[in-house]
Amino acid sequence: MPDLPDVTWSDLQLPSLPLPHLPAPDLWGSPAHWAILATLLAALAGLGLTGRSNRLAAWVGVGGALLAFLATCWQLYTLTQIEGARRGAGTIGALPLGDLDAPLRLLVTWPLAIVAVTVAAVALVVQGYARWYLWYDPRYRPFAATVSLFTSAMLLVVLSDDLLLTLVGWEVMGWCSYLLVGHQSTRSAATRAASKALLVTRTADVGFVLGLLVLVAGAGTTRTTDVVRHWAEAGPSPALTAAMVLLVVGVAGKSALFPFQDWLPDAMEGPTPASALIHAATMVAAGTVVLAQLFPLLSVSGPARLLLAVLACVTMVGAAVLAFAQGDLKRLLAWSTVSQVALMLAVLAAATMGTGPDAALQHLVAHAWFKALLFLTTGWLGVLVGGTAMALMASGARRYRVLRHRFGWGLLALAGVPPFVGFFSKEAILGTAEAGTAATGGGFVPVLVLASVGATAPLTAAYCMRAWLVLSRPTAAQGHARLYEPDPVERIDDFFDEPQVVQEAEGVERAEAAISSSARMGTSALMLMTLFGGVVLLLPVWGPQAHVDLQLMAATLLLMVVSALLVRLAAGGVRTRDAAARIPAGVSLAAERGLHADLAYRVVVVTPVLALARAVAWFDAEVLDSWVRGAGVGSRLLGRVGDLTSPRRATPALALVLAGMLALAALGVVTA
Amino acid sequence: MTLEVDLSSVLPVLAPLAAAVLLLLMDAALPGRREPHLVVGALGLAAGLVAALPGLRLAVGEARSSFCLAGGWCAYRADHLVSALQVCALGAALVVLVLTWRDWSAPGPGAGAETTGRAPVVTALLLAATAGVVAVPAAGDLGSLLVALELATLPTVALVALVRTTWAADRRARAVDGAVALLTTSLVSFGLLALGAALWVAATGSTRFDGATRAEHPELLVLAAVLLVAGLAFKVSAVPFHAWTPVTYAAAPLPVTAYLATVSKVAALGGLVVVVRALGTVEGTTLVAVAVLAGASMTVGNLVALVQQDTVRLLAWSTVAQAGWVLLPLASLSAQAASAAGSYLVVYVTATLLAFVVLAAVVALGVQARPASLEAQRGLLRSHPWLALPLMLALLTLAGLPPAVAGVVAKVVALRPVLGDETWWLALVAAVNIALGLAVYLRWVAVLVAPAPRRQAGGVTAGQGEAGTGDQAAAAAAPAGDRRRVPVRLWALTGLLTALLVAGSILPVGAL
Repeated sequence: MPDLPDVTWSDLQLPSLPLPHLPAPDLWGSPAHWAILATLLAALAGLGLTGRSNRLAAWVGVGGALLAFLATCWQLYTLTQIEGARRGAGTIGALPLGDLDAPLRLLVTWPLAIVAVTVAAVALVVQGYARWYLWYDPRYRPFAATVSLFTSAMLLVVLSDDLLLTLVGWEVMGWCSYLLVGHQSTRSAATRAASKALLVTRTADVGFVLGLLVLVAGAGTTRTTDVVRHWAEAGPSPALTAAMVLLVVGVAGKSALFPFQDWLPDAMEGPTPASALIHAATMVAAGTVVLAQLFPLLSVSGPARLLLAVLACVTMVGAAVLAFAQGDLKRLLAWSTVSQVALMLAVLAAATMGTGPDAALQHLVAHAWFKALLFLTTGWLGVLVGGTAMALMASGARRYRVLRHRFGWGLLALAGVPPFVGFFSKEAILGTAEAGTAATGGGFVPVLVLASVGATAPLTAAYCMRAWLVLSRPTAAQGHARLYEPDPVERIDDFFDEPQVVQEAEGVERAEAAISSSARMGTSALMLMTLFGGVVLLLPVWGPQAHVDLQLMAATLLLMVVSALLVRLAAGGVRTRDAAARIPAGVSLAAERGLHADLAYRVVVVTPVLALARAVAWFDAEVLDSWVRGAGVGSRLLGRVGDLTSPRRATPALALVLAGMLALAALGVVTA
Repeated sequence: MTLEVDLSSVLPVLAPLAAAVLLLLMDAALPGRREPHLVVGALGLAAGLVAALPGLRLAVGEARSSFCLAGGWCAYRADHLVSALQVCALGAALVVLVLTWRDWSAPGPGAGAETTGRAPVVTALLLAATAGVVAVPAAGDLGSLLVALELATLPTVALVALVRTTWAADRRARAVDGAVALLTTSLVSFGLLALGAALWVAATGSTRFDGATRAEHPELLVLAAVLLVAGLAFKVSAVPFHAWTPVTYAAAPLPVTAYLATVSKVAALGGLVVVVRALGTVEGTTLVAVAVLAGASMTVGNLVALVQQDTVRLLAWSTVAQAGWVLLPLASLSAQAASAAGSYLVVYVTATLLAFVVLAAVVALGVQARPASLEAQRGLLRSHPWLALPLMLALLTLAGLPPAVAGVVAKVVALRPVLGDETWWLALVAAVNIALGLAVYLRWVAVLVAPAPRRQAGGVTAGQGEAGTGDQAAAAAAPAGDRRRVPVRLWALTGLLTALLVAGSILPVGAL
């Protein structure tokens, strides 16, 4: 391989342009307030004020998201005008918690401000899309309100400078995901998936809450920056390690890392807009944001990094493999989400203080754009063909050409092909991991992460290729045409007479007629961001970055091309052009069921817990309660005995009096 | 030897007695009249009440005394607590008189005069008994105490026995049975009291209560005190001296039962307070006997009350249980304990009176064959909410459960001396009894709140109800379907007592 020069990230970054000083009105509060409050109030208004009007609910939901989006954009501008680019803001004032300091403040820095814009933008697109997607849904209003609340909670987590606020946002997101996944509550599969998501994430949340508690108790404050400063000054300690390990467990639950991964593919039972929101920009990525905020602490606690790296790498590779074998496009995207979120978290484990955690946040932003695009386009096609199974989706991009670019660009970005946004973020990750390897002299964690990322890249390319081959398979009519007219037919007399052109025109017509203009515009915006989002990642506001190893880049791209070609080759002999058909049926079925993780959960966790619960309930009902019941029965019985034995005639009454008198006199003499 | 007499101080005792004498004279002058005697009696009680009121404003250490010797000892001495007990007793007696007004002023057989000339007699007896009750807590020596106690007890025997001649013969016989039970027990108790008094004199060489500090034989003194307490315990119906209580309560007319359950208890507590105060000046004596009495009373009273099916009997056993609560603070033999017992008694008397008044109103409604049975009150909250709500308030006060804060505060006040003394076993018994008491009273409350049963066809069958009263007999005689009304005086009493309890719940008094 030729010796390629090293390129540092800052060479690639755009020059810093002086922005004009706008005559901005001094609004009440900071943009962070506006963003969080707008969505929160939209949620409350959506639940309380819209009555039975879907139209009003849609205006409230979209309006809240739009306001949040504008506020976050404005926040970006204000950051350029602030020296040091950090802006803090209070909320409801400090909580009176005695010795514990709980100022409940917000803090904006550049990376988090960009994440906030991304969240708000995806939420806006999702709100507009949901209005169309759930047009006939009788429960659209609560859905829109829940999406608003969800957005608010995510923005709170992103902008929070207080672990208490982070916890609030974290828990609210957990509950909202339960509501969104279980939106179609009449379907048992949906309610089961919702309960599963809630139970699994909340089980892991135990670790999250305990970890936060240890951090807060040690620092004596809930303010994140103070907590980080306190523990960073104290240096590594068992308490810090325990706290970070617990936090990593909690993050693993929310971000669907192994062994908690199985709730996320099941959560595809929710409506597609909810999937786009939960799995693109918000909940699963929240762990990345929290760990990035606490990154200085993570980087000094080795066991936590090791745990995070191992979990993330296992998940990253495993999920990419499983994604390849899915028979449903939405589930494929879900497994791809699991894999990509693990990628973000893995780089956090590999990063050093020199590189900083920004690569993870860059990938978060990039992933939000292209994954939201893929989900929403899948939902669109699903409406057209009546389902998201691969068999139904086949030829979708060919039949409805308006979807072709959306799918194509989304998959290219997901695979990390230049010049799409995914390429830049993946290069940042690779560079960071490599820098970590160099900084630690080939430490286990960065090497593991680097190897896993390297392995995941071709796997990702493989399942993207597979999906694309199925989606862009020639339609049956085209197949027949090719069969019967092997030679190109010259038809110059009448443009519209050509069957293929007519079919395509019909397809575009049908696809565009099926969707509302605002929803389509939203996907178009996402498509544009998928292509040009790299510019955002190249802004000079991201923190210290690693070198870009051109050799590594070239090798990765080569691997991706090879794996894509292999998939093409494998698909060649299959009539459906589905490379996964080469996989044995048993393996394929197992992969679709998430390698029977459900069964494992039941055997390892559910059955013992239920047995314990039954034992405790039995003990409570049969042993403890019998005393209580006995007390009731016993006093009744004693009362009856007393009633029957109490004297009703004078003689026994007098005898009782005298006996009592003697007893009392004796008692008096004895105790005197 | 000079004796200072301050008539204004003894007016609470003198006023009822004077009224009793006056109405006996009036009966001689105007035979056969009923209403004027009752009016005179009420006036006498009211005068006594007004005369006792200034005592409530006495500061600590001050007292209104009379019959004083030069040495500073007084045969009659009423301080703040004693005055409060007197006011409570006189007020309760007045309430009972209003409650019984119609019964006592009712005509005899054939709408003529009662052959026994009942109205002046029973009124005089009530006044005499009340005068005795008022005199007990102020007694300064054993003689006054014994005389006052007997004055408070013996007329009540006659009150139980002297029922209307229009009542059925077996019902009247049962009333006499109840009177006999009361009489025999009171006689034995008096014997005990006399024995205790004799031992007291032997131990201290004096009949005065201020002489206890010079006791030559502390054991003898304690034995004397135990006998005195045993003699008084009958009146407060503490276990094991309680046997007369259910029998007599169920046999007596309802207002007389109310009298026994409230005014008589004041006399008993007054006597106990006198003994406890006298003993409190002796170093190193404890009265385990009082603690045992208190624990046994609450436990037995609550347990048996839990299975009662008749409200009057339930209230009788509740009286036994509450006697335990009244005795509870006295186990610690201190001035604070006496105040605590006094405040508990005031709350208990108010709540019990309210319960009896509502019970009388329910009986006056007379919609059921046995209006005093628990079942007959099922659904009272729906049918007569303005009767059921005060009754529930009274029951919750007795149970010590919010919103009846007065009851809660009273229980706390009663428990505080015990906890201060660190008599943990007694505190434990009390705690168990709080739970038992809740079961007892909430059982009744649950009956009141429950939906009303279907009205049985066939209407009311006239019968000689076991727990019947005069009003009930009249109710049974009334034609079925005649919807009787609650008399205005009962409404007034209900309102007054409810207002007192509500005021006590909003502004709890605490220890007197």
